[in-house]
Amino acid sequence: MNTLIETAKNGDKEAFTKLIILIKTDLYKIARMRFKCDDDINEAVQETIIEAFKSINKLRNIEYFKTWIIKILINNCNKIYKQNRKNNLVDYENVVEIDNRNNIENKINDLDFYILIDILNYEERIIITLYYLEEFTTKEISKILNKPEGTIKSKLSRAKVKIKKYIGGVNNE
Amino acid sequence: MNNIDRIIKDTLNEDINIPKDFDNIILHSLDNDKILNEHINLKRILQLVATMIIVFIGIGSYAYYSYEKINKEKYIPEQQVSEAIPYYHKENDMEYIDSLEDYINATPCELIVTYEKYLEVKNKYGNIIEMTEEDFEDYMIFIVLPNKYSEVSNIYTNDDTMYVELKQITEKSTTTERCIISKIDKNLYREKIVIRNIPELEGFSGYTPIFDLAEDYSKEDAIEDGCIVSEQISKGDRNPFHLISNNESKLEEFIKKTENGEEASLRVINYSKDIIYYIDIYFSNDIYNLCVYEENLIDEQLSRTAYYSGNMIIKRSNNDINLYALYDYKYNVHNWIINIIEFDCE
Repeated sequence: MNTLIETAKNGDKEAFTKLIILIKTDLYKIARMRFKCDDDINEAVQETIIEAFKSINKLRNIEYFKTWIIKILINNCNKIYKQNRKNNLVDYENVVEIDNRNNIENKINDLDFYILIDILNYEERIIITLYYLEEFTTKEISKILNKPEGTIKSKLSRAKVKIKKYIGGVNNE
Repeated sequence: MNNIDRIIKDTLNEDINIPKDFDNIILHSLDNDKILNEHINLKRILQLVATMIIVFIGIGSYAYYSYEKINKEKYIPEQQVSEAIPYYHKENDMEYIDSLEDYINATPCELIVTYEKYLEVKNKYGNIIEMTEEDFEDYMIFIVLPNKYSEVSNIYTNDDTMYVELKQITEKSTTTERCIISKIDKNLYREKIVIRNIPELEGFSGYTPIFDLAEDYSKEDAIEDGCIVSEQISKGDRNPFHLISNNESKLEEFIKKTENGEEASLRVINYSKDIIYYIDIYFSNDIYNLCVYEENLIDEQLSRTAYYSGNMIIKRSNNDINLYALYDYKYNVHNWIINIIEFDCE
């Protein structure tokens, strides 16, 4: 991966595309935490790819490539979300996810990716994702999200309580 | 890693269906040379006009100053609902507080900008501003659950922040808690919200209100104004504050008055690296009332105002004056307050 990053830094589009392919699932999942609509996800990721390619030559430490691109993605998601919100477009938070509710009924004994999205609010979802999927520390997450570390810890803990409560509730049914 | 951690990790790592469109985005985003060429051309143009930017800085600064001034003008939102009592009183109050989306400046709140969301939350209240779908084209709704009986006294904005000021109302509320629901012009929408709970202690006198202090209010100014001033040299909750000035005559006057059972006011300001604590103390009817405003210098969304009532122990020796405030906060002694006004006078 480091070789690809170095090559991409020299303006190699192919190397950069290969890099993105390596992390595409993570990018999709992170954008999915903000948006339900695939068009919004695609728009956010496309803008992220273009923006990241334009500025990858400025990335000093290649070790932080993933942190760096995730931060760009989250900012782009927030930007699009804000535009949608301002224009009164239906956004993630306002959509009652009929399909996922069916999933809950069908998969009553399990927590799955979509149920997890359903039971948490956006901040909890993104923090949980960065912590468990990307394995960032709370300090790193606080830098990515521009929030105090204490806030990250409390939201992480609250999210865990919600998930625990959900699992407990389902198992008790 | 415990069981819940493992479940969450596995859940997030599980395979999900990624649409084919998404793969196309990944593979072809950079194929569009037009976008990248536009970027290169734009870069050149930007270089050419760089020198011109300097000329515009002066004009820009003036425009920004004017913009700030306009936006800081007082905006009192429509408060069609003076008391919106949430139904949670009948059930579990914690669930209601938790259902508000944000917790800013230690205050639960929620901004509603869409009609769909409005319909969702409407059922939580016995009384809420009536809004139609058309109303949401120009207006939004801000719900706040203040920790004191308050009203929204001012709303203003800067580039990225909407400031909501809450002012205490001294008249007694008929309910223990109530929400303030305000209808706000959508032009005031900003990504970030800061709630400024105006720190006001009824009866406290002799000092400038905290929010009226100048932006460059210094330790020297504070000493001159009769405040007790201390600072925390090293970071950490356990490190004591070192006294810079005990404003002896002011402190003696305060102590003497309290010993005689007279009303007395005193302001203590403690400076730490990240936070300035303004502590207004008002003694009346044998009770010490405190208003503590924590100004967070790193993140203004963490600044907060808190109120306490209780006892205070004042210990004096030749070189030391220690003020220990003991407050029962929801049945627990609130220790941090003791730390911030315990002076180390070495």
